Amino acid sequence: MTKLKTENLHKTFGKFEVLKGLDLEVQEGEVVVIIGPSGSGKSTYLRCMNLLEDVNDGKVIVDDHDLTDPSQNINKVRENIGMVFQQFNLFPHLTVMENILLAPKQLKNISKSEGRKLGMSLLESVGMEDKADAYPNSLSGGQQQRAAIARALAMDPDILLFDEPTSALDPEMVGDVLGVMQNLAREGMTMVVVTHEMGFAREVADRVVFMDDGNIVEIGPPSQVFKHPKNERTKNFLDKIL
Amino acid sequence: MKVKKKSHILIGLIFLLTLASSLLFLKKTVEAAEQSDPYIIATDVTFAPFEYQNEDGEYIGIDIELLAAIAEDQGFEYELRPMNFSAGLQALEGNQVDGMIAAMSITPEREESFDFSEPYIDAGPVLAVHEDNDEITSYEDLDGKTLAVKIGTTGAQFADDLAEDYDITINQFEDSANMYEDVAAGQADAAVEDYPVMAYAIQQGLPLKLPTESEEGYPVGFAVNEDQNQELLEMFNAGLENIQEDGTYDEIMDTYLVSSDDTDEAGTKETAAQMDPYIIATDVTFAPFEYQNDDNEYIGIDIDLLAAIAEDQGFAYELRPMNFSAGLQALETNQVDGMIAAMSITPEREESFDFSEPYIDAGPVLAVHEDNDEISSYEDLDGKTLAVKVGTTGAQFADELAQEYDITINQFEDSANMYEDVAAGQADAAVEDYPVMAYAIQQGLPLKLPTEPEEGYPIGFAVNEGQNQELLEMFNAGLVNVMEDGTYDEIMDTYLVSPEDAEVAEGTGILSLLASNFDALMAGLGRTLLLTLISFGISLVAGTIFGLFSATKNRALNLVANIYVTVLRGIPLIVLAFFMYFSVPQLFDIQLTAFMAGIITLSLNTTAYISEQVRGGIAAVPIGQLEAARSLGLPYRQSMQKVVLPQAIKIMIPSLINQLVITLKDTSILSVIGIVELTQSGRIIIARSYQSGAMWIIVGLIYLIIITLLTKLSNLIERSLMND
Repeated sequence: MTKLKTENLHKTFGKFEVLKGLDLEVQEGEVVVIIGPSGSGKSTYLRCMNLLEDVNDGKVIVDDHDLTDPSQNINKVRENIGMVFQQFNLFPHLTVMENILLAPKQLKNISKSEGRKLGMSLLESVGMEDKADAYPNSLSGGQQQRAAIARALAMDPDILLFDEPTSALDPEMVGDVLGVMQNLAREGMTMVVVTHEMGFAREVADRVVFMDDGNIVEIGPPSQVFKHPKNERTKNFLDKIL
Repeated sequence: MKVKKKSHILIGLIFLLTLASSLLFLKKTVEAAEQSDPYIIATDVTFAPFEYQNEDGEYIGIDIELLAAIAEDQGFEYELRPMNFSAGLQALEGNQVDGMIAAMSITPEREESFDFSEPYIDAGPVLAVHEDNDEITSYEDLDGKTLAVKIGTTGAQFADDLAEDYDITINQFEDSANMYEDVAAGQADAAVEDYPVMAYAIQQGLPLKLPTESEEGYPVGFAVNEDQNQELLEMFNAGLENIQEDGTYDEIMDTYLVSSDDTDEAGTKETAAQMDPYIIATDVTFAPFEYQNDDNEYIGIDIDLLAAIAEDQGFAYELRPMNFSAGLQALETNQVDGMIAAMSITPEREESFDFSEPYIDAGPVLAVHEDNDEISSYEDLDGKTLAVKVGTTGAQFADELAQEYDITINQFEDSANMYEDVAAGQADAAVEDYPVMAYAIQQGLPLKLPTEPEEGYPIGFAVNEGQNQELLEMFNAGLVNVMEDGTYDEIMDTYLVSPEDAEVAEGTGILSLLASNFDALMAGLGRTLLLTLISFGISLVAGTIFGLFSATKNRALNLVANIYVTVLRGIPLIVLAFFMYFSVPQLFDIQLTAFMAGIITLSLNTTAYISEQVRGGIAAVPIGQLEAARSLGLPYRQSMQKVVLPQAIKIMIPSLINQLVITLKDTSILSVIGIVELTQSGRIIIARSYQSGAMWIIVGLIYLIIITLLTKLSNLIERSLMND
């Protein structure tokens, strides 16, 4: 079953065309990893999937809801799409627990005890239960990103978008975050991940998308894309980073 | 015998003639004696606006004032005898009274019994519509409309005549009040009523106006019994002609009647003024005319004179001290009813204001430092600097001098600063009204007068042109009374003669100056803080709203915020204050107290700056914060409220504290519209004590201490917020 779909997606910044008509279907429970050189439009593409970026042309369809339809309540759809950012974007004036419970409290009116229970179980799932009442600034990068993943899960979404989740981390922290992501994949979460972690892509991804210059150049299972790239540009890119 | 008989007849004739002539003489003397007695004039008991009693039980009204003016003009004495109208007619017929003035229509029937003066008013019917009604401007416009009339009046007759020409529905009423209400409430489109009665009712605040001129009706006149008191009738006619020529007649009519062209304007305002105490502007810093004593009470020639006259005339008033030039503007814009501020009666001012009889004469005089022996005539001023107070005759005289000599002029808003300029040597001389300067020097100012005072304009009490004429009349009448009973001389002696008055004995050190003026300074400080906190509170809310406007993606809201900030940041605070206090009441016909105008001014100004700080604070929160919140499904408003603004506020706190300090200091600018805050309190004390050196140190220190405390408190709040 198709969970998320883009059709002929176009995005321009001023006169510069960043995305040049992208089509993709992500199935339920599928993990899609987007790779490609800097400036190829990976992050912009991901941000279009929950309409953090306006789309100039084409459609974004999530669970049969067309996000580009102006009458669509975008907030309702976004509850179902968690997002994890490169810079974590935790709210610095709130504790980890408050970060996680902000949306459930505002949108679902859950009780204090329910909230605390939900928060603790989410924190447990990312191995952060001892940091519930810490402020983000007192945490390491890896801890912050795991807290951010817990926050992204707070509204119980079906889809998670990851925008280079490990790029801002010290190397020794990367493993923890990838581990959490791997667990989520194993539990059947639909995930779209923009990353430079080729190991993660190879092991966890169901399909790998290679983007270059605003186009999807190649798409396929990791074994095929990594071992037998069809396109010259894919080959060049993989040669450089592997 | 024949001759003898003839001579007897002759003697008899002579005797008879003598007798007759002596009898005639006797009669003449009796008449003369009668003439020096006051004439007894009958009037109606109550028939507004012609004759009625005011709150003090005195008879006022058109008839009363007209008679008074004519009697004064012709120099005859009279005694009013109010009685029922019909009783008055009988008394006149029976020669129990000499004349009658009671809104008496000159009808053919009455002309058979009485002799009438020239008519002094015409009581023809007039049309009245609601003051907001611009539809009806002529009788033709009444077609298809409803007309309210009072049964049995000439107005009702006239309405019937109109109904023959046009399609008019007529609503009939038993009394005038209901008829007026019918129009005021919009049930009828217009009313018809005798002109003076209708004009007076509008004057009293009825929301009607007169779109057309009044019709001709029976004229109203003064009456004597037929062939009796003809000399009184002649005097009345002559006097009427005179007062019509000299404007007194128009003044009286203006007091009681609203004319068809200036209807609504005069109406409501003057009624309000009549009920409330008169607001009288005065200068704050012009000893010996007006200044505050140690107990912060206003004293001075003007203040005491006004008090004495108000008591004599029985009117209530409220003093409103403000800068002299601000006072002039306030008077011109009807913010105040009158102004007493040692105001010279100049031809220019007479064009804008109506002045009372002068109560003192004061020409400008030159003053130099007491050690200055260089300047002993006007010629010596060549190449020198002259200090003047803005808008005074002294300033005018300085301008005249500057045309003849090479003189630099330093302008000041108040006298104390001007004196200090000379005492401190920044200016070589000052020009000031003689009594003021003499008083100041007597109080210890180190200046002296090298020349004789110039002949100057007399000083008077002023009202706005054509406004508050009754106040002006009361002032004049009261002035005559206090001059007669010695009160006037007492007041002048208090301020102009004896130099060793209580206020000389003020301490000279900073501490004793502070101690003796502590209450006044604290009251000023209180007002400063109140202005600051109220304005800042309003600005915090409004500034956040405008800041959010400029932070959204909505172009229209961006534009609104942008225009607001551009306009309000582009206008100096002092100009904004003047605009609020002087222009807004004229443009929008609303009355603002100085304090209200001050709050609005400061709030508008501070809002613009806070709005920019809010915009900057929001922009300083990383965009990822809003994105993270939105990606969780939180709507824009909640995202701003829960995520962006709490962080923006922390970023903004230091600049908000800075803005609070600026706003507090900006309150001092509001002294120009007469708010007695801390700076103005200081000025007032200096005007009395002439100790500007010590006083400005005290005022400066108070500001410094308060702002330091406020900053410390704000920092504490900031820290506790940061620790959250």
